[in-house]
Amino acid sequence: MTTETESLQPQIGTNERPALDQEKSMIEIDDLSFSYDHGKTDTLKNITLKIPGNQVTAFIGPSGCGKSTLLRCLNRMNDLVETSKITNGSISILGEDIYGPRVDAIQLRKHVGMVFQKYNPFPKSIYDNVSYGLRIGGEKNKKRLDEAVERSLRSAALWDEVKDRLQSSALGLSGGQQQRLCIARTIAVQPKIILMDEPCSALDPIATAKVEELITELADEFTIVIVTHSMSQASRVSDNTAFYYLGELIEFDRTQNLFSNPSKKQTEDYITGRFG
Amino acid sequence: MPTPKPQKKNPFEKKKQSLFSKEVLIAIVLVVCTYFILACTFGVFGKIIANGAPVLAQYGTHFLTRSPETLVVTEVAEGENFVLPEDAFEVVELYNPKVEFKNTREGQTDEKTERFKIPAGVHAIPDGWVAELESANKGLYINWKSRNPDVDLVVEVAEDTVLTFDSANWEKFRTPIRDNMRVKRTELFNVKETTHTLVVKAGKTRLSKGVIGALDPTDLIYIIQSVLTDDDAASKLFDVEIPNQQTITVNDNIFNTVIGEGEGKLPTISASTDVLITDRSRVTIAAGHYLVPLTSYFDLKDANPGIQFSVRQGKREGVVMGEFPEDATLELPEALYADFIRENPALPVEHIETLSTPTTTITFDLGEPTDLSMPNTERNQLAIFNPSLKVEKEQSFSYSGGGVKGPLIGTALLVTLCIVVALFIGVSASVYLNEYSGKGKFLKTVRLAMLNLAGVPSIIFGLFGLMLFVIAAPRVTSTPAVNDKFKIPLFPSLSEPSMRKMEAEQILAVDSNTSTADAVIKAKTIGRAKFYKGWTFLSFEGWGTSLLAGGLTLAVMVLPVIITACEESLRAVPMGFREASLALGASKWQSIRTAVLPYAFPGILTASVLGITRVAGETAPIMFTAAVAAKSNSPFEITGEPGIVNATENFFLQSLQALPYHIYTVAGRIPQSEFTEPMQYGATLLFLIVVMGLAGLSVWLRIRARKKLKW
Amino acid sequence: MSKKATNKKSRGSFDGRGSGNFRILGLQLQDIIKAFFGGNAAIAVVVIALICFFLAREAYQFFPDYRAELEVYRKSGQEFVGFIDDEASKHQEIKSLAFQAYGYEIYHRTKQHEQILEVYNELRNRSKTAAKGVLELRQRAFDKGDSIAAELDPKIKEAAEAEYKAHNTRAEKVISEYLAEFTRDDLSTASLSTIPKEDFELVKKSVSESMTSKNKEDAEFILETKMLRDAASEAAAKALEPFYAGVMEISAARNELDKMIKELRPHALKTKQFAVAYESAEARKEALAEGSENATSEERRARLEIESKRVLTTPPNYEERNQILYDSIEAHSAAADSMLTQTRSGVAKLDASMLKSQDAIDRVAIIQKKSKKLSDEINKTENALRVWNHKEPYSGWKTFFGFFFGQKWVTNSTWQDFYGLAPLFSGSLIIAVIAIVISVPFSIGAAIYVNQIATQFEKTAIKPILEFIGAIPSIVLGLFGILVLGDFLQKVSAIEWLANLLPGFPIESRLNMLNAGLLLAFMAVPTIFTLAEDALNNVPRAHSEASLALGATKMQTVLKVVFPAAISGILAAVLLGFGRVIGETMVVLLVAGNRISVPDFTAGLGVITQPAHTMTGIIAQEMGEVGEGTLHWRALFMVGLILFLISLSLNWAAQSVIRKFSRHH
Repeated sequence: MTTETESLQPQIGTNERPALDQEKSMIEIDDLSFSYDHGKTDTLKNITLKIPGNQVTAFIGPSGCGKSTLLRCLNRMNDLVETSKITNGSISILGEDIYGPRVDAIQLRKHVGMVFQKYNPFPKSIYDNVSYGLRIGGEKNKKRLDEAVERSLRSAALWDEVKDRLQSSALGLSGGQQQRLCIARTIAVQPKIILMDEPCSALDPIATAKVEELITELADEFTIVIVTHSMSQASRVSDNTAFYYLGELIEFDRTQNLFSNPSKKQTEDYITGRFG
Repeated sequence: MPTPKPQKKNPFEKKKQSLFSKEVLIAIVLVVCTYFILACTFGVFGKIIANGAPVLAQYGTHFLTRSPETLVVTEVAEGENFVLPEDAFEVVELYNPKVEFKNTREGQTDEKTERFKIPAGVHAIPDGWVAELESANKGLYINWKSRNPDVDLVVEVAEDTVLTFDSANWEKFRTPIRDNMRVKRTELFNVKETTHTLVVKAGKTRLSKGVIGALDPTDLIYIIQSVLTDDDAASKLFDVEIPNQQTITVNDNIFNTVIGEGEGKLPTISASTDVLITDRSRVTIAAGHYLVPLTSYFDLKDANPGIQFSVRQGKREGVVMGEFPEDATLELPEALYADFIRENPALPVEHIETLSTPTTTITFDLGEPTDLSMPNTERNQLAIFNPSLKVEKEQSFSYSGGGVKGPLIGTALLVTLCIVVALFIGVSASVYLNEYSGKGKFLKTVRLAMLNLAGVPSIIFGLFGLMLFVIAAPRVTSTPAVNDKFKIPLFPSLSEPSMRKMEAEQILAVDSNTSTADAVIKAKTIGRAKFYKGWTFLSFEGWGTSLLAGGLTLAVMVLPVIITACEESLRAVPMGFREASLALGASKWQSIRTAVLPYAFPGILTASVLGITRVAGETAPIMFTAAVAAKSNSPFEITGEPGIVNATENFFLQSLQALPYHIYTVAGRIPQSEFTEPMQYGATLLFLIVVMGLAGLSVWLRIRARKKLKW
Repeated sequence: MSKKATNKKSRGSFDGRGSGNFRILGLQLQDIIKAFFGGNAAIAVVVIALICFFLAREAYQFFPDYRAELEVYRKSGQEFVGFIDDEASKHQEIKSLAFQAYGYEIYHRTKQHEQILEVYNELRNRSKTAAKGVLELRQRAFDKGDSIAAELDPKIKEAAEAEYKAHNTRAEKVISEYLAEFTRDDLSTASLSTIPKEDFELVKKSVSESMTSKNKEDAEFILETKMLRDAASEAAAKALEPFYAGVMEISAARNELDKMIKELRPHALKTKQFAVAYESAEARKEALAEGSENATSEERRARLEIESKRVLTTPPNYEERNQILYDSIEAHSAAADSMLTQTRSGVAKLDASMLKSQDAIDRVAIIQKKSKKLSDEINKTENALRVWNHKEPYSGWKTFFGFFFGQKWVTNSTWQDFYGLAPLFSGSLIIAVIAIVISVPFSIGAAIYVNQIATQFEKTAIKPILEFIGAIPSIVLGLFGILVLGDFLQKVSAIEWLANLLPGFPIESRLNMLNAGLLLAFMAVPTIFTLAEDALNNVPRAHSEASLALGATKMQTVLKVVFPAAISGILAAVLLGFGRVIGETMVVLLVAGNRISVPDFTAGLGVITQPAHTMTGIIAQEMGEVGEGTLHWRALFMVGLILFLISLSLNWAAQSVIRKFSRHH
């Protein structure tokens, strides 16, 4: 499977990127409408979007615009809400309709990881937190688990800070560390895509900086979709940005373009701070 | 959209069947756990309903309007023309749905009641008749002036009999019964009686058990150095010390036993014999019944050892001087009235009229020998109306007949008292905890105490209630018990206890100058339970097994539940309400009263229903504090001295039947049989309906309160 | 009154509004109100304090009093006799087991016929009751036909015979109707319901035959069975002759020791009566003297005075009375030795290979085990007797241990009362453990299901139902245990393959620890379920979301994340459930069987099917019948105090677990 993923990777390391709509997409959202109340009202309306692989894509927009909802549709976390329903359209990841009949949400989530707004490590040790995903996947080999934990913690730039106390409780870490631990936990299962739902909103500026740094580094390996409230954060970390308003996708473009040269009036108003 | 390559595998495809089946397995286990518990619940309810509902359906209101009684299963021989009053017949029919009562027909008998007048004044009445009059005339309470405790016996003299008496005894015997004694002939004669005077030697000796026994009624002071038991032989010797030389006088019998040669006889220095001559009367008494005081009866027997008398108890255990402050118009059933007149010839009774109430009776036939089961009351009726009833065999089952009226009322009373007290204290306490107290140490202590109180086993509350309320609670009384914990004198008492109360409650009246300690000692030594010295005390003697003790024990038990629930509902009232009220110039109490309590009311109501549910089902705390298995009158029929104070006291200090205790009695304390089952299941189902109804009510109230209280 | 006055005044000075003074007054009023409410709040503290006070006050005198009683027990030589008694009772166990084994074997060999006859008798009696009336009439008709009048007048005889026939036909009908509905499960003894169906039908037929035939003879089938039974039993007795000889030898082994006990027991008892009389002599003397002073009549005064003077106030001569005990030590050795040798030779004759009944074989195995221990027991007794000294004071520690670990709870005994907690505590504990072991998996399983998996509808329906269980009064469950569950368990446990599979089955007594434990398990469900569900509910959603986002399945999330996160809350729930169960009274009082003895743990897990008594049960049962302030009364309060402490410490443990838990989050 890894080989197939590689084939999807664009050339990285070059600043000159092909136009957004020409890139190979990792996630394709096609005319998606979504409702939380059995289809009475649509929270998301007719969204069509192609998210390219191995880049950071940011979702921005005012509160209640549906950006988090869309994010949670991508790994079917919205399934947990019993009254929710896809009323129209589809989402494909790696070319597979994730709401299709053959798809198991559990398997999907192994490929599409998620980092939450409020860091939420389990009340277990650091080691157990990181190895959790692998263990439930059936991995029992201690050596391989050790390797995976170290690799993930290194990737999450946390290894040096916690390597001496892997068996102590994760709840003893600072907020920023906890959030990075959650990221480490997510990448330990080697997902293709990592969804981040305002990952820095509960962190102080220094911790935020560290996490942002981490996000840009991870983009080499993973496709990252990040929901953020902060436009500056979006501009700092993302390659592409999508702007939503009232459940609709208003604009999607390279981040630089969107911020410097918005094509829609609403986008401009929002990023210049006229509403929201 | 890029079309997926056909050979490409779906990366998200469902796989790993084994994991999946483990999932299902666990889920199934969980489902089974849940539904197994549900099934058990329905099983328990179902079984009780299945067995109890037919009982309730069969007995219907009878079950609710009668108190528990002994159930009698009588094997009646076949026959015709059995008679029962209509209502009794209905009950018998109810109890024996399978029995065929043939040829039932209605008839009528008159129940006659005599109405008569006793003029004002003080009359001597046997106390058996006092009880009889009082039970036939509701509200009558005859006070005593004095009481002669002699018990009367009816001695039957079958034929003319010659009896012998000491002359002194004869007078004693004859005086109280002169009215109805028919003496045919009296004859005086003399008898010689021998007495012996012994001078007993001091010192240690050995006496046989027989000698010691004979010496027992004499005045000799001796000390046995060992313990006598019943299985020792009469000739067995015991070490005895006679402290000093003594002179005793004994009769012939004793003399012959204690004096003689050999081991075990009494060592004497000298013995002299005197002969006394006593007068005797030989009397011939006509056949008949004689009402004789108990002491005279013993004299009679002693003097005439050869004659057997047949004896039965008369309607007096003593004669009281009953006080009638004004003319009393009373009623008695016909048969009783006749006895009453016969046994009280000296009483100035004026007959007024004969009332007759027609009663419908049912006459029926039984084709074959039949087992009839019925409560004891109906069994008595059957015996009264069918004097020639032939009973082959009879079994009785305590508490298994009748219904559950007494227990039901008892439980209601207990629960009401408990909830009134618990709510009063509970609401006040929660108001304090939530509105007044800071976050101090006190608050912490109270909460800790409450948490722990909630976990204390109910039987411990029973012990607590027994100690505090039953044995040691304070009472204000002018007749304190001698074995109370301690007593505090308060003020001179307002009125003296009546003579009747003194007798009934074993009160010793002492001079008001006597010290309390002396009075206690005096009462104790002569075996009285209470004393009266014209002073009112706060006496820590407890309330006995009573409604008050039981209710308060339950209240204490349910307090944590109520406080916790009330606090919760108070906390749910938004802070803004209080602030708004205070800002408008209301005092703290005013704002609590007007802006907090009304909104917390639904929650408090729910709490109280929850509390009722909890206490109504409890048995252990009331076992030694309030409940009794049998009680003849309903809790509202208060007997005893008239007056609101007495009535209140008697009401709260009476013991009660209670439904859970009744179930315990019929389930655990009487032998099981098919005849006890209807009562067991019926009472249980009824109890379950009451408790579950309350539980349902509390759930419903909670839901309603939650819906309503949204601000 | 003064309030009113000030009020009026203030109204004047504040222009009728009076708010200023009212406030001052209001403040006073506020203080009163506050104090009043505060006082009520303090009641919880006061109650706890009073409970502690009363329990402690009644219990604290227990140990000194008990020690004094036991000291008398020692001084009077009862203790000495008690040692020999204990030794004898060990032999008694062996003896009765031997008789049981023999009885079981004989029954086993004749069982096939014996059971048929038992069923036959039961059915006969039951049909007799069912057709009572008509049978009675038939009897009368028969009597009429048998009378002298009938002898003389053939008409009467004829009429009587016709009547008899008519009644007989009716009786036949009634009985056959009754029997037709009767199935094997209706039999009163559960183990009989296993008799073969064809035999059962034959028995039914025989019953109606024998009851309606004129000569009232048993049907052929029954007669045949009886003959077979007699033959089988004779054959069995013959085959078991050597075995029976062993049994008899064991039985006779104790003769000498018994004789000794029979002599020593009354002697010691008498010394005790002596001692007790002496202990109370002073008080009695004083009471009599006081009584004579207050006597109502001169005659009575003189009597009481004499009686008072007659009371002996010198102590008994223990030295002399106990000498007979000291002298009997040698005789005891001889008696015990002969008991041992005879028992051994008797046991050697109990050859298990000639037995067929499993029950009998089991018993022989126990006998062999016990007889090996008998010599230890004898040595122990021997040593105890040799070092025994009536003058040695009874130590406080021994009293203390005697209470907490004593195996006997004996009250109202003519010999000696013992207050040993062990049988009650073990009963309480075993029942509570059964209840918790059964209740915990079900309640927690249900909590997980309702909290994590169930649909919304199930949640709203199941939760109130389970909470409703908590409202079922315990007395109702007790009654259910007596009337339904006991029989049910007995029937189930009589099923052959189950009885072979599980220890303790078939259950001998309807009321036992298992029965009580099951009911208490049911009672504990709402407590554990509600608290555990709360604990699960309190686990932050973020945890399960994180787990799901990592691709964990629902079950993995529940078991690996949610459940561990809630574990302390669940532990607290279990502890509180345990507290509730161990403090429950009515169910155990009604259902546990109330046998006061330490359960026989040699039965392994089967111990749970034995009857037992409990700490709560003993209080409820005996409290109402003891006098205030007696030793028995104090002992019961002591039990209450221990129960109270147990429940407090369970509460405390649960609270500290919860505290730890809440600190964690």
